[in-house]
Amino acid sequence: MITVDRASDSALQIPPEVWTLIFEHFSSADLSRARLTCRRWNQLVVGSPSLLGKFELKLLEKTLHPESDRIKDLLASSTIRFSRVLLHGETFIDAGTWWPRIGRNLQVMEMRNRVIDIPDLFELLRGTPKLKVLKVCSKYSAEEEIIPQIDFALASLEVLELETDCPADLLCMLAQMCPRLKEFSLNIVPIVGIEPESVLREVLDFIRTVRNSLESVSVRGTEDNLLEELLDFEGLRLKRVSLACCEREILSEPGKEQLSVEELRVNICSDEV
Amino acid sequence: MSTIKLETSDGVKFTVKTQVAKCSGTIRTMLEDIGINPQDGEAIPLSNVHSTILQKILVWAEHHVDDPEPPRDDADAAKRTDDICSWDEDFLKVDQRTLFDVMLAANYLDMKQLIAVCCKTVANMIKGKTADQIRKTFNIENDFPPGDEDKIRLRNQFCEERR
Repeated sequence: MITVDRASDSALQIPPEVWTLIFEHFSSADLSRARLTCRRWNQLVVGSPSLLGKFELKLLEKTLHPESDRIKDLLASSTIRFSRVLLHGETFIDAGTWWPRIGRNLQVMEMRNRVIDIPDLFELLRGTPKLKVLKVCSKYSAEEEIIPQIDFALASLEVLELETDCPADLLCMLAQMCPRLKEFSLNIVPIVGIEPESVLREVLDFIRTVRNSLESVSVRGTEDNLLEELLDFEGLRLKRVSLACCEREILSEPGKEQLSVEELRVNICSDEV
Repeated sequence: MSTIKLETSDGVKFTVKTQVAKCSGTIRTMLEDIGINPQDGEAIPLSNVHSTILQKILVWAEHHVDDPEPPRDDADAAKRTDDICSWDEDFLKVDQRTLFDVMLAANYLDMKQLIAVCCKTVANMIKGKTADQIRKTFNIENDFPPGDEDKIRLRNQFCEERR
């Protein structure tokens, strides 16, 4: 029981659970400074899943290996409870052996890789059962990708953001894994000098597969007739649609078939000067 | 109007409107669940609260007695610290020791709204400060063994906000 002694130092008497309530108002930068104040506060921060959840784990190494100091250090700390991660790695060695311990509590995963291959990504996603938000910004290796047999789902995934040069295989894989997807955003960034492949069919297939839960679509860099195709879909429940097209004759009657759409945004960008 | 008596750690007795006293979850439990009968005229002992602090807390409870039930904890909305009402802000413009004593007592008395507003106030005192400034503000001793701070700094680098 707490005794309030007027003569003693009150700050030290505040019980840990009340400090935790105070710390919950902090950003991760504030928490970083607070945990440097004293051992007690440091223990409070690292011992609290909700506080630790404010930090984003950054794994910026290009190659992540279970024997690397960084991964060893991470696995050694008894409290791996990060809910957000930023990955810059391109190569994940033996991911199945170490990644699930980091991935199991992740809700937000952002990948900024120069190149990543699909089997690697697939293995990482297998270790993140609670993922809600996935952002992938990368190019794909030129090698022929083998799409793995899909034997698990990202049952909590609600937001998917892709920024890539060639999303076809990726879309094909992810379509089968996201039964609850609400927001889908795709930005196709063509490689200079290379004529982009058509991915219209893959994009439409993807949207068709996840249409039951999908509420918001944002696509940049695909062919212009995506919108027309989209508006002909049955069973869509989209509330927000945002598209960027090259200049062309655009639809005449937007939203005729899609009564659920509340917000339609079409950016027309002209290539011609 | 029904009243009850409260007795503080320093033996001071307060006569309080029952409704006001019930802002405290601890007192509510005593009255409703444990069946302490205030009609007996016996004072409820609050052995962890000093009279100067109880007096202050009763002022707060009197002001907030008709507040509607706060909405169920919305994870993000509840974490703001810039939404302290001006009455509470003035109320908590006290020296640090009093602020902490109010907070401790509110915790003991289980007064969630008062704890929340105290937490926000203390959070605002810490936000944006360096570890050194925080230590000075609260008179906290740096008790890290040599080298530990650097280790934490290094770990912080790996997980701080980007923007």
